[in-house]
Amino acid sequence: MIGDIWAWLTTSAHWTGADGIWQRTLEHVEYTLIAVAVAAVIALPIGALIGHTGRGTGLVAGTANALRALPSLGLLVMLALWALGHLPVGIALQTASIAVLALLAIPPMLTSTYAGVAAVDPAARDAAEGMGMSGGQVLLRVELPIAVPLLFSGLRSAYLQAVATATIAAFVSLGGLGRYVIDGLAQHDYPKMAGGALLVAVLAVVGDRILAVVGHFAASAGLTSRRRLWAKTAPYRSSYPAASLSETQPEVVNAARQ
Amino acid sequence: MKRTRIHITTVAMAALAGVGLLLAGCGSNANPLNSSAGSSSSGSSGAQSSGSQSSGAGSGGASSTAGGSETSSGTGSTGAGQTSAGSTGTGQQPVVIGSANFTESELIADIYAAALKAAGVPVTTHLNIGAREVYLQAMHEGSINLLPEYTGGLLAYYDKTSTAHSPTDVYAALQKALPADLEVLKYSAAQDQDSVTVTKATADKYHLVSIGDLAPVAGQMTLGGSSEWQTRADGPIGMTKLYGVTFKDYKVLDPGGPLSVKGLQTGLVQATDIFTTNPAIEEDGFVVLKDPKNMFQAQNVVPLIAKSAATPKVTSVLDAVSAKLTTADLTDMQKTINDTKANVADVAGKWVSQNGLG
Amino acid sequence: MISFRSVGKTYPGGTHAVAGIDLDIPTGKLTVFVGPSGCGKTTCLRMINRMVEPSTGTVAIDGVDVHDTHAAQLRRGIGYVIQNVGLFPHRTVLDNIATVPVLNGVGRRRARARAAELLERVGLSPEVAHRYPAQLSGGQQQRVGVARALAADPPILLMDEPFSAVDPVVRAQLQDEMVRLQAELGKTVVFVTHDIDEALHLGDLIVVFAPGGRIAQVAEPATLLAAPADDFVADFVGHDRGYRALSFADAGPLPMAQAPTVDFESAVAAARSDGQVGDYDDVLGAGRGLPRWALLVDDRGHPQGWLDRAGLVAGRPLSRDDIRLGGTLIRPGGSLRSALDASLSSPSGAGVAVDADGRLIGTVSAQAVLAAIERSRTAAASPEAEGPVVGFADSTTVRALDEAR
Repeated sequence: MIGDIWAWLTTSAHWTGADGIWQRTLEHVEYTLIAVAVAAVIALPIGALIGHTGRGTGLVAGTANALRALPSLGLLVMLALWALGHLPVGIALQTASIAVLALLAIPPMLTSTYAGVAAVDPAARDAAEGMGMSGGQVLLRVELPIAVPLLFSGLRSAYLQAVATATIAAFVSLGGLGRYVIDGLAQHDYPKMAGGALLVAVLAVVGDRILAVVGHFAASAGLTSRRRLWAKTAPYRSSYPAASLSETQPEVVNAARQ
Repeated sequence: MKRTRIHITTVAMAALAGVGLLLAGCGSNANPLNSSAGSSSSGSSGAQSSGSQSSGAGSGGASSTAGGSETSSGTGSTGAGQTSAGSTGTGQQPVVIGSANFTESELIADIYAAALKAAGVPVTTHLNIGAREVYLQAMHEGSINLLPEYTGGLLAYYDKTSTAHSPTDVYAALQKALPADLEVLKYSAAQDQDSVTVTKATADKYHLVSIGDLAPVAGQMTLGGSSEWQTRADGPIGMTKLYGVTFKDYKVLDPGGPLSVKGLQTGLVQATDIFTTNPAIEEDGFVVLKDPKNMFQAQNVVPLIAKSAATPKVTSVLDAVSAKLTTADLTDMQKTINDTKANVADVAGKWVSQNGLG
Repeated sequence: MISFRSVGKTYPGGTHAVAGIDLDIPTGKLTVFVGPSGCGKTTCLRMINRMVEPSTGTVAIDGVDVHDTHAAQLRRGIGYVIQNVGLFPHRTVLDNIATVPVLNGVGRRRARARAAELLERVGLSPEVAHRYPAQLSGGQQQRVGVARALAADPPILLMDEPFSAVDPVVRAQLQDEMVRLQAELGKTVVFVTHDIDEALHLGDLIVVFAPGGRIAQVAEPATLLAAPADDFVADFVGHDRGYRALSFADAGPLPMAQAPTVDFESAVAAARSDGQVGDYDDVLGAGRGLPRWALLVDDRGHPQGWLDRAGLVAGRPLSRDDIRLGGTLIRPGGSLRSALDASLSSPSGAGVAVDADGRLIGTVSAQAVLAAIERSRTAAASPEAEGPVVGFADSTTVRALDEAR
């Protein structure tokens, strides 16, 4: 079986052309990125606003959980049928698929944005306001920068959710790696199916690592583990008035014993 | 570094699990996009879905593992009950009727049950079993002994190489191909076939009557259909070979499901595979193109029965049912079920009594 | 001048946080709001920069109602330091300090240069400039907080319990720094604390808040101790206010005795001497008519602790029990309170006096301090006689050797 999958993956004819792996991967990435971007455009402002004002937190939790519980496939079919009737045929199915993926990508980003902003030290917020920052400045210059590590963890969850679920686009005749999974299954071509699933997993890992690295550098060094490197080169030592005495004295006592 | 490796593994597992869930979802009964057919590799579609409520017989691999849930239907009221119905106590072995996991199969099984019960034969139903691999296994094991089937699909399951197309040829070939413990009774005129269907507007515009008429215009058209039909001998390949029809593009849609119907209506595709009992054909005025060269195998409804259960009485009742049942009846009853959400057993019981069988 | 006129604050639900306050806060002075928690002092402080809006009355700065100035604009002209510091964890120390100038449109480079100057002013070394808050100690963070508040050189500084979250030793340092800084800057400082000692130490003017959000007394520290307005103030100031009042009485000239001193190496050598004690008689003098306690001094003349000769036996290794470091030092310019404390806390009963460089001058007995107290009470009006003025400005805690263990 593994040999069959390997054979499928290493057949060069499977990589090129309109039905080739490169093309399918490109499509898969395209659906995923558009969906995540759409989700970010919706989730970031709402999450930030709710975290900033502290209003509507119950709404966030409720909505996020409801969205998580969505039966994605059923929703996709429903949306696809609606879109075919109401949108230009050329973009209807793409729109429906991306909408479903975006809906799935919203909860992790919404909750992490909200949590990241809400978790900002109240003292920092108070100080920012007290120094004359407007509400918007507090959000943009203090709360969001501090929330960056959590924002990225939400982004990564959203990406994983979207990249794994983007296979369903193939159910409504679109491309992406789901094409291999679904066609492989229907045509009893199991190496193709497993190969497709494997490629999705690879895409998930690669994208996640990229986002992790980007997130690490996007966050201020004051918030990430990079500060540990700093701390090593410039250690802080508390100095009490009697510190020198307390440090030297035991040596004296030891010397006296000899 | 170690942490990173663990993380990667976790992510990969999660992604694979996600894909796995999708596959499982694909085999489940609740999914209207569920693909049909899925007998064995090359065969024509036998278990077909129709109407938005129906679902496919599960698809091959996944459902053979995931789709084995033996839910019994027959929600109690009339017609097919769970218990044996014959009060005469003839000492006869009860007939246990099974069905595939889509509406049409369930409906025909309920019709068999109602008719047998009316004739005083003890009947038990065990419906909604799963895909063909699963319910045929149940048949061989004896946990059920009567099933509604389709001649072409069943033939393809037992004989992948058969080239029979017409109803009589397929039936004759099927009788030869069946294992010794099973037999098929007389087949009905009612059929549920794959088809190449276009809208009325398309048919009028290009004067389309049969599949062959598509030859000059197919180059500008997109064809819709299921994943499996794309590679099957009676799909695009057969159309090219038999009729010289080659389409510009192929879009994978749900086999005969709502997306195919909507796709055809909205022009996403210009021609698509829709099953002939689909009520949408009539409702939307679609035109089913004729298949004079018998590219599609005949798919007549036929009772598959264990020889041990095929008493003369049972045989005569089922033959009577097959004689009365028509393609139009199947379409109408499914439309009723779709539109009014009526109980399948009730609809079956009504048909039986209306046709003087109950 | 910051003036409160009939200022009240009622929260939804009817809680009166502040009830009709009239108050004038003098320009250029450090005014402390002190009182038990929940009596409106922080609320009043936050009314000055409009972090809290009064329900009734007006707060005005130099005659201009703060309500007439845009809140953000107003706040950028008022330094603000809070208990939990509230440094921005994502910004370096320098950028934290530069916050308000940057908000005011000063170029980042200039703002940073100014921030670097401030760093020194609040007693931080330049090397912390590019660290992040998480790399600083609590005391360092609070210094950065003060520097940040001073960055735009605001005439007014609001400080809300700024030192209450750091440990007592660091707090004492920060308080001293605050006194020094205020002497240099002469800002109008409003300082909130619940610690009456801190209030007495720092304040030019003390406003005592009482439960119910009213002001119980407004007075200078010495007056507050000498003449509390009512039972609440008297109680809040504490039972030993007579003793505390000594903080505000100059120590004046104190009779100085010379304590027997022993240098460190001699003590160690004596302990090792294994019975051949002849050379170390001046160290091992116990039982030979010498006083029990001798002051250990290092080679620079700094007192290191008291050597207990009673426990010293030739040949037995020097132990921690033989050296006592407890006790505060009497430094130049100190108060009677500190002098008394130094003598009472010394194991030998004599307070150790040092000069500005920390070198030993002599010792002062508790009796001598008491006599000085007596003199200051009777001759409060008479001019001080000249002579060596010995005392200390702050109690530098010398940690006991036992603690170091």
